[in-house]
Amino acid sequence: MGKVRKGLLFTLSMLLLGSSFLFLSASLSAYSFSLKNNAQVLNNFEKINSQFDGASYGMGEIFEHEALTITQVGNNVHFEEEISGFGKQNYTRDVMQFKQFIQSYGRVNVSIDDAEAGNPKMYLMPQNISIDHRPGRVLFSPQNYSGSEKSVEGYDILIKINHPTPTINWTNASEVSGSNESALYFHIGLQGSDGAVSDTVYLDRYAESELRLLNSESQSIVTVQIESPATLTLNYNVDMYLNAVVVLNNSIDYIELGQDAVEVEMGPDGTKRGAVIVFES
Amino acid sequence: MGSKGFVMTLDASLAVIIMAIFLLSFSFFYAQIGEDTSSLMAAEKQANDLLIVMDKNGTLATLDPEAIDGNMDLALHEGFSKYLEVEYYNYSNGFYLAGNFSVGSNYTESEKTVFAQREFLVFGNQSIKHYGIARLRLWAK
Repeated sequence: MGKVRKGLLFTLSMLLLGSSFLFLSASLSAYSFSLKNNAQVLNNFEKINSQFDGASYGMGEIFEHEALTITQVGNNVHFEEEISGFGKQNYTRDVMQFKQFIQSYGRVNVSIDDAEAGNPKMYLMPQNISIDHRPGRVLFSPQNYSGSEKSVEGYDILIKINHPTPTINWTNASEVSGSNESALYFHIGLQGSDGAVSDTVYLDRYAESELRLLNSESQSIVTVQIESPATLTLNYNVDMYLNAVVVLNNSIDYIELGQDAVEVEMGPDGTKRGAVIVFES
Repeated sequence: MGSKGFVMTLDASLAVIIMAIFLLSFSFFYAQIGEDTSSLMAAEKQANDLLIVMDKNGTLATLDPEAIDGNMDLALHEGFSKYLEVEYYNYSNGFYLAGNFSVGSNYTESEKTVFAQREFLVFGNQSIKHYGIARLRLWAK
C-alpha cells in the first residue's frame, strides 16, 4: 500500500472515530436535555398539584370550621348545623375572602367556583344527591337519574329553637303505607322552649306533601315540602339548630363541596380541575 | 518537494481545525450532560411536602417560630439548610400584613436554592383569623 493511501486511510479512520465520539456526546446531550425537560414538566406538575391541594384543603378547612358537621352512622348521613335566617353569612364571606387571597398570593392561577361551594352546596356520591343551603332554605335533592331518588329511604329532621314550641300542621300529606315501593320515611322532631313535638309518616316520594310548624299566632316558622322525586325543602325564618339525617339504602363514598370547585391553571404546562372532598366514609 | 510540504501543511491545518471543532462540540455537549437537576427536583419536592405536612398537622397555624423550626428539623434531611419566611395577613377591605417571622439560616443569592410556597389559614372563634403564606428555601449544606 502506498504512503498516500495509508495516510488517507488513517485520516479517514480518525475522522470516523471523532465523528463517533461527537455523535455519542450529541446523543447523550439530547437524552440529558429530554430528561431535564421532563424534570421541568414534572416540577410544574408538582407546582400545580401543590397549589390545587392548598386551595382545596383551605376550602375544606373553612367548611369544617364554619359550615356544618357531617357524620355517618351505617347508611345514615347526619348534617348538624346552627343556621340563621340569613344563611351562612360568615362561611360565605370567608370563602370569598379565601378565594381573593389565594388568587392574589398563590404562585399559580387558581379559580374557585364560589357559586356552589360558597352556599354551601354538597353532593353525596355516588348517589348524586345534592344538599343546597340558601338564606332561609335547605334543599335535599336527588339528581333524578336512575337510582338516585330510589337510594333515599327517608329523612329524619330534628330541630331546636329558642321560641315557644310550634304546632305541626300538614297542609298536604300524600301518605302511603310503609310497604309501598314509593314510600319515603319522614320523621320530624322539634324541641322548643316549652316542650317538643314530633311526627312520623310514610309519604309518596313522587307526590307533593307539605308540613308547617305554626307559632301561637298561626304563622309558619318552618315549612317542609316533599316533592318528586324524594326531594325535601326546608324553609325557615328563625335561627335554629338543625340535625338532618338522610336515610339511604346504601353507603356513601364521599361528599363533594360544589362540583369540581377548584381549578388550577399554569399556561401550557397544564390545568387541574377537581373536587373539594369534605367527607369520606 | 515543494508540493509535499504544501500537502503536509494543508493536512495538518485540516487536522487542527477538525480537532478544534470536535473539542468545542464535545465540551459543549459534555457541559449540558453535566448539569444534574434531579437532586434539585428532589429537594423542591421535599420542600413542598414539608409545607403541606406542616399545614395539615396544624404546625403552620400555630404561628410559633420554635414549634415550626422544631417540626422542620424533625422532617428535613440533614444535608439541607433551610430558610422559612412566614407572613400572615388580616382582612379589612383588603389584605394587610398583621405579622411576619422567619426561621432557619440566612442564604446568599449565590446559593443554589429550591423554593416552595404554601398558603394556609389560621382559625379563631369559628372564622378565619389570619391568612398566612409560608415561603421555604432549601439548599445543600
